[in-house]
Amino acid sequence: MYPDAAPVSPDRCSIGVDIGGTFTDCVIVSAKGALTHGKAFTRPEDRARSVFEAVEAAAQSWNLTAEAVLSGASRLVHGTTTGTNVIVSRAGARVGLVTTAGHADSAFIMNAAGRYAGVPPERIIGSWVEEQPVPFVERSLVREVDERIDAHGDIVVPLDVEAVRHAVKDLVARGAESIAISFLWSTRNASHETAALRVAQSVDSQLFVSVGSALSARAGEFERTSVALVNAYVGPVMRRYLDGFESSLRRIGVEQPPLYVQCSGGAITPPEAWLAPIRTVHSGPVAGVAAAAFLGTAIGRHDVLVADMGGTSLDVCVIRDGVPLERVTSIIEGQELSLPMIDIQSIGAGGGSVAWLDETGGLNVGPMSVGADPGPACYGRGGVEATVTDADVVLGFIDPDSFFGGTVQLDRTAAESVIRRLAQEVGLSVVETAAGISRVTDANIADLIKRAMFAAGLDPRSVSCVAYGGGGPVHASSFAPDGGLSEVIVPLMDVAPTFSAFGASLADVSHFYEEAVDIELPHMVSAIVAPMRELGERVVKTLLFEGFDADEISVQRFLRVKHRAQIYDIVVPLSAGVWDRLDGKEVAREFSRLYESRFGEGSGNEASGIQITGLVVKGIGKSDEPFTLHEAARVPADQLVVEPRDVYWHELGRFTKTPVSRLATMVPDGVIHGPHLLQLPNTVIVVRPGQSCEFDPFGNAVLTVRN
Amino acid sequence: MDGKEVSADFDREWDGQRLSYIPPAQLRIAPSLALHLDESDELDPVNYQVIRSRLWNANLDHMETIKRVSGSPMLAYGDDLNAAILTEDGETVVCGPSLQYFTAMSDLAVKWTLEYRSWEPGISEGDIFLQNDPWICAPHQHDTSVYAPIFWEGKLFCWVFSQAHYSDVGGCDAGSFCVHASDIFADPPVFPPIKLAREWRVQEDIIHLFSRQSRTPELVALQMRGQVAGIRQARNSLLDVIGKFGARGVKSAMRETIRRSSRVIGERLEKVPDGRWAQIVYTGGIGELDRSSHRLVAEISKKGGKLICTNRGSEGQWGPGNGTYSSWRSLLVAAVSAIFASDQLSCTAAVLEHMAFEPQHSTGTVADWPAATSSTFYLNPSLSLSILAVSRMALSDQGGFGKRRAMGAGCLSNKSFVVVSGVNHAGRVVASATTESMLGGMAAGVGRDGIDTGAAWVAPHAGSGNVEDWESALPVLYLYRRQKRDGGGAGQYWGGTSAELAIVGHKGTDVRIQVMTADGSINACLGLSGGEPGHAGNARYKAASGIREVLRGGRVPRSDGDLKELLGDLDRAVPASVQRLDEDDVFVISYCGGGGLGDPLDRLPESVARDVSIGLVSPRVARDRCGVVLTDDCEVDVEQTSSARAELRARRRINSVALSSVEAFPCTITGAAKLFDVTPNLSVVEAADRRYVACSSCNTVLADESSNYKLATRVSVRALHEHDPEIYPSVSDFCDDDVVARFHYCPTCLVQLGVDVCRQDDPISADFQMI
Repeated sequence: MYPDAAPVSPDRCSIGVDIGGTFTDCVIVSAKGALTHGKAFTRPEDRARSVFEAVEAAAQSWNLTAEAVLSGASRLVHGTTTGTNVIVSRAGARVGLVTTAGHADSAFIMNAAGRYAGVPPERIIGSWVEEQPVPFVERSLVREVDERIDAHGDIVVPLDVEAVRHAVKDLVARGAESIAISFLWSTRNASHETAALRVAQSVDSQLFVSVGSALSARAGEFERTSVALVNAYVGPVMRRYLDGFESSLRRIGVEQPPLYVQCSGGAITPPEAWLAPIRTVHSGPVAGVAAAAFLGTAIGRHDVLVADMGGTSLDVCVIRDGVPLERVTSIIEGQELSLPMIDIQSIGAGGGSVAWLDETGGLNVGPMSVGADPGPACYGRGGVEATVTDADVVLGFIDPDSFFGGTVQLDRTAAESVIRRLAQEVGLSVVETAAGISRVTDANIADLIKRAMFAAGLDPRSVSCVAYGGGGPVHASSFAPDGGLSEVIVPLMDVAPTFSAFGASLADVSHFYEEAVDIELPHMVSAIVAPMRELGERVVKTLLFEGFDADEISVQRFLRVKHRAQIYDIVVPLSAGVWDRLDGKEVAREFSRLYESRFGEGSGNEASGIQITGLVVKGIGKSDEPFTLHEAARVPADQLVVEPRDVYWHELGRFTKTPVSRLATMVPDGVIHGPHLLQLPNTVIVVRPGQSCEFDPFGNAVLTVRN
Repeated sequence: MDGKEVSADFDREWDGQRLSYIPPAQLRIAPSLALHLDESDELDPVNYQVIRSRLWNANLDHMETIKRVSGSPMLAYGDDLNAAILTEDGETVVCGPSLQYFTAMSDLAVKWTLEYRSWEPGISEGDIFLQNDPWICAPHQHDTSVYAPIFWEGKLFCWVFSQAHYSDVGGCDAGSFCVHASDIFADPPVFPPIKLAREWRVQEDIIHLFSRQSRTPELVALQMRGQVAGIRQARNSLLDVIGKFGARGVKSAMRETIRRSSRVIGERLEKVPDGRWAQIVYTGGIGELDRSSHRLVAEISKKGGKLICTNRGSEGQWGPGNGTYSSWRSLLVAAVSAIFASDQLSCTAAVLEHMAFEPQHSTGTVADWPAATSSTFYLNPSLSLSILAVSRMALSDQGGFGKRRAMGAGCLSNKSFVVVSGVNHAGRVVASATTESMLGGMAAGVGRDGIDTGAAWVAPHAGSGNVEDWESALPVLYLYRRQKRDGGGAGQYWGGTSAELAIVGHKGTDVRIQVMTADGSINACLGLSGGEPGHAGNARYKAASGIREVLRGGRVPRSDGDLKELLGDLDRAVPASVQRLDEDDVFVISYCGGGGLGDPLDRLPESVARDVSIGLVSPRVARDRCGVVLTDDCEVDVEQTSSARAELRARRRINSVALSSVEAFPCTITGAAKLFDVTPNLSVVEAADRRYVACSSCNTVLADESSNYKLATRVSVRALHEHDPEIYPSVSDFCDDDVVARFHYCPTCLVQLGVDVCRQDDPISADFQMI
C-alpha cells in the first residue's frame, strides 16, 4: 500500500526484525516514511544469518543491498526468540546460586505454588498428578553465605565476603557456567549483592553473573531469585548470540549498535541486553502488540484488544489509553519471575487446535494442537485429528485453492473425514459439527476477552479488536462481538504479514527504574520527592550516556499504591511537572478513583489506610521522526473481482452463496455488507451476516460487528 | 440431595438451630417466591458447552474480584475463599478451583435461606445475604458467606455465592481461633443469614455490625466490600449469558451440567467394587487445655454408584475443638470431587447425587449448638480423614481415574497456623496469621512420589507467600525457611516433605506468637498401603536464646541442626499457647509432611540415592527405613543394600506378633485366581466361588473378602516416637493417652501392608471390607 516509485535512500532508515520459529521477518521504514518488508527462513543454527537474509529480502524491493540498508540505518531493532528457545528447550547454562544463609530452598519451595503456577484454572484441581516444574538450578549448585538485611534495609549480619569468594570458586569448580546472586531484601539495600557481584567478577571476569536487585525492585525473594536464575540460565547463550550478531554487523561496517525489543515494551541497548538478556524473552509477541498500539493510536483507537491467532494458540493483550497493559511478574515454564512483561495471555485456540469430546459428551477445542507437522488433516500430511482449520475449510471460510496465496493445496475431503468421525460421536451432521468447533473456539476466545476486559476495568463496547495472525481475520468477527466488542480492525498495511517486525521498527529505547517504598498517604507524600528525583536523574543520565540528546528524552513517573491491608497495588500515573509538589489528599483521591473504576463503585475503603509501595520512572529515548501512516491506494468496490462461494453461516443455519472479493494491492471504497469474504494472500477476512466492513484511509479493514 | 437416605428421626430437628441444618428432599419455600423452572425443550450441544464455559469463567471473575478488592494476604496467598453458581433451588453447578470445602457446602446456605427467609422477610431481587453460622454453612465463624439471588423477569433464576476467611471476627482470642472458648458464647459471634444489601444497596449498618466484632474492623469491611463487588460482577456476567442464550437455555445448560457430570461420576464409581472403607484418625493434646486424644471416624459404604457416609464411631464434642455437619459433609464431598470428578469443574451437585449422609451428632465432627467451633481443631485431621477414606476406596478403582488421583494425607493434617501480634516499628498494631501452613507436603499416590512443599489437596490454588511478604507485614525476622529433611513419609513412593522455619521478634514491641495447633505427635499425616506417616508438624521455642549474640557474631543459623549447635536444645512449644517473641526469643515450626505409599523396603534404591543426594532424606533414614546403603558418593551399595533389606525384614518378624485371630487364616489356596487389586499390595482372589483377600507379593490368603485382613497379619506396636524420634515427637509431652502406631506385615513375606495410628487398646480396625 506504500508504492514508492522514486529510488529510496537507505540513510537513516529504521529496521525492525522479528525472528520467529519458522520465518524471520523484516520491515524497513525509510527516513521519508516509505516502507518495505521481507521474509527469510529462520536458521536455528545461525539466527544472525537469518536476520541478514530477511533484511536482504526486504531491501531487494528497493533495489538495495542488506549491507547498504544496515550501514545507513539509524537503528536496527531486533526481536528474538533465542532466549525463549533456550528456556523452552532447557538448553541454557548450568547455574550456580549464591543466596542468604537459611534460604537456599526458596527456589525449590516455590512458595508452595509451583504445582499450579501457569496451569489453567480448570486443570488445577487434581493437578498433583501432573509433572512438576523443574527449577533452573540444581540443588547441588546452591550455596548459602552469612549475610542478612532486614525489611527496613538495615544490616543485621554483614556479608561474609570470603564466603562469597569461596562459594563462587566452588560452584565454578563443580561446573557452574554462570552465577546468580540473590539475597533477602536486596531491594531495600543492594550493598551486599553489589559486593558479592564484585567478588564473583574478581574470581572470573568472564563469568556471567546475574544479580536479583539489578533485575527487580519488588519485594518477594522467590520471584526475584527466579528472575536472577533464569537470567543466568539464558545469559551465556544469549551473550554468544549477541556477540555474534553485533560482530557480524560490525564486519559489514554497521557502526550503529542494534537495539533489542524488551518484554516490557520498547527497546534496550546492547549493554543492557548483555546484563539482562532475560528482558528479550517473548519479544516477538510484544513487538506485535507495539504495532497494534501504534496502529490504534494512529487511527484514533486508544483502547484496543489485540488478538493474534496463530497455528497453536491465540494471544490477547489489552491496550488501555494507548499503552499495553503490563504485569509485574511473569510465569515462564512454571516459575513465577519478578519480570515486568507486557501482559499477553494465551489459550490453545489456534488453527491447529484439536477438537475432542470429553466424557460427558461435551465438545471441546484445544489446548492440544497438531502443530505444524503433521498439521490439520486438510494439509494432507497425515493429520488425523479434527482441527479448527479443518472446520474452517469444511464451512467454506478457507478456500482450499487459495491457502497461502494458492501455494498450498488443501484437502477438503480429508477435513470432512476427520470431522465426520467426531460428528458421529456427538450426534450432529458434519457441517453442524464443524460449525460447533468454530463456535466453541470463538466462545473460548470470547471468554478470555471478557476476562481480559474485566481485569483491565474496560467497557468492551468501547474497545476495538485488532486481529492478525493467520486465524485472527477469520474468527475475529465471531469472537469479538461475543466478547462484547463492537469493532474489529484487520491491519491491511503492507506490513500485516510482518506485523511484529513492524512493531520492532517502531520501538523506542525505554528504561524503567523502580524503588520499593513504604509511604503513608496523605501526610507522608513529600517523602517521594527525593527518591523520585534520584530515579529521574538516573534514567536521564543513562539515556544521555546512550547518545540521546536532552530534547530526545522524555520521562514518565508513576506510583504504585494500595490500601494498606492489601497485597495488590495499582499504578497511578503522575502528571509531568507536578510530581515534586503533590497534594497527598489528591493522590489518595486519584487512587480511589482509579481503584473504583477498576473494581466498582464502593469497592475502595480509604479508612483502612492508603500506602505508596513503589516509585516508578520510565525514560524514553526517541531519536527518529515518528513514522506516519500513508494513504492506501483504492479501487471502486464495483471493480473488485467477486467470486461467489458456498459458506455455512451458523446464525443462518445453512450454506449461502457468499461473495468473495480478492484483495491484492488496493482496497475498495464504500461499505461491504456481510455475509462477505475478503480474500487476502495469506488469510481471509470474514464479514458475517449483519456486519459491515469499510476500509480506513490507510487501508485497514474496519468491521462493525456490534452484537 | 441430603437427607434422602437419612433416617426419619432426623426430620426437622436438623434445622440449623441446636442441630446442624440438613435440607429435606423437598424444600419448604414460600409460595410467594416465584422460581424460574423453565428449561428449553431441546438444548443445542454447542450452546451447552459454551454456556458451561461461560458460567465457569463468570465464577472465576467473581473470585478474582474478591481477591483484588479485599487484597487480604489470607486470600491472596492462602486462597482461603471460593465462589459458586447455584440453581434457583440451591444445587451447585460450578465452583472455583480454590478452597474446595467452602463451595461443597454452598448449597446448605442457599437452601436454608430459601426455607427460612423466603417466608419472612422474603427474598427479593437486589438482596445480598451474609452468614457465618457453622450450624448452617461454615467450618467456623471466620468463613463468611456472601450470596445473592439472581432474578430474571421477576422469577428467582439462580444464586451466586462466595465464602471467604476473615482474619479476625471477634471472640476471646486474637485471630478468632478461640482455643480458650469452651462453648459458643466465648467464641466469635454467629450470624445466621441476614440481608447485607437490599435493592443492591449495601446496608452500611450491617457492615458496621459485623466489623464491630473484629479487632481489625477496617480489614473486615474491605473484605466484605470485596465479596459484594464479586457478587455484582457475577450477576452482570450471568445476566449477560442469559441475555445471549435466553433464560430457558441457560437453565437447561445448568441442569444438563449436573446430569452429565453425575452420569460420568456414576460410571466412574461403578468401576469401584462394592465395599466398605473406614478411616480413623486422632486429634488432641492441646496442652493444659486438654491432654486427651479424640477419635474421628469416616466410613464410606459403596454400592453401585452410591456412597453412604457416616461419622459413626467418632467421639463426643469437646471443649474448643468441634466442627459441624456442614464441614464434615463438605470435606467428604470435596474429597470425592477431587478424586473422582476433578475434571468436572467442581459441579458438587453432581457429586452429591451419588452421596448420602448418616451423621451422628453430639460428636466432635458433627457437634450440637452451643459447642465452640472457631478453633477447628477437628477440621485439619478431618481433611486427612476424608481424603484417606475416599482414597482407600479409590485404590481399588478398576477404571483408573480415581486410582490415579488417590493419595494419603499431608499438608494441613494438623493446623499449625501461626498468629503473630504486636506493635510494629511504626507504632501500628498488627495481628495476622501467616499462610505458611501451606508449606506442607503432598502425600504419595499410586506410582508417584508426593510433592515436596506441594500444599494441600483441599486448597489446590493456595500458597505460602514469601519470607519478605511476612517480614514486611509482621515484626519478625526469619532465620531460615527450608524444606525439612526426612519430613515425608517413607514408602515405596515417598511422601512430599514439608518446610520448617525459625523466626525471632524484630523491631516490634509486645510481640507475641500463638501457634494454633493440636499436638502434631498424634499423627494424622497417614500414608496408604503400608506407607508410613509423614512428619506431622512440631513447634519449639526458646526465650532469651542468645540468638542475637550469634547474629552479631556474623553467623546466621541455616537449619535446625545449626540452631541446636548454636543455642542448644529448644523446648517443644505448648500447643495453642501464646509466647512472647522478643528479639532474642526463637520460635521454630515445622509443617505436615505427606504420607508415603507402599512398603519402604520396596522403594527403588536409585530413588533413595537421589533423595539423599538432594538432601531431603538422610542416609540414616535411607538405611533404617529402606535398607538402602549408600557409598560416600551417594551411589547404591548393591550388596550391602541387599543384606540390609534382608535384615530389616527379619527384624520385622522378631519385633512383631502374629495376630492369628481368625481360624483358617492366613493360608495358601492353590489355584486362587486374582480378580483385582484392592490396594497396591493386596488383591482379591477367587477360588471355588469364594473370594479372599491375599497378599499381592506372596499370594498368602489373609481373609474372606468381607472380613478384616489385618486380623491375620503380624503386627508390631510402638509409639511413632520410638519408631523414629527424629521425625515423630513424643505424644506424652502434651497428651496422657497412649497413642501408638501399629505396623501390619504379611505373615509370610513380611511386606508392610498397613500402618495405623490409634490408641493402644483400640480394636484392630478394618480398612476395607468388600461386599
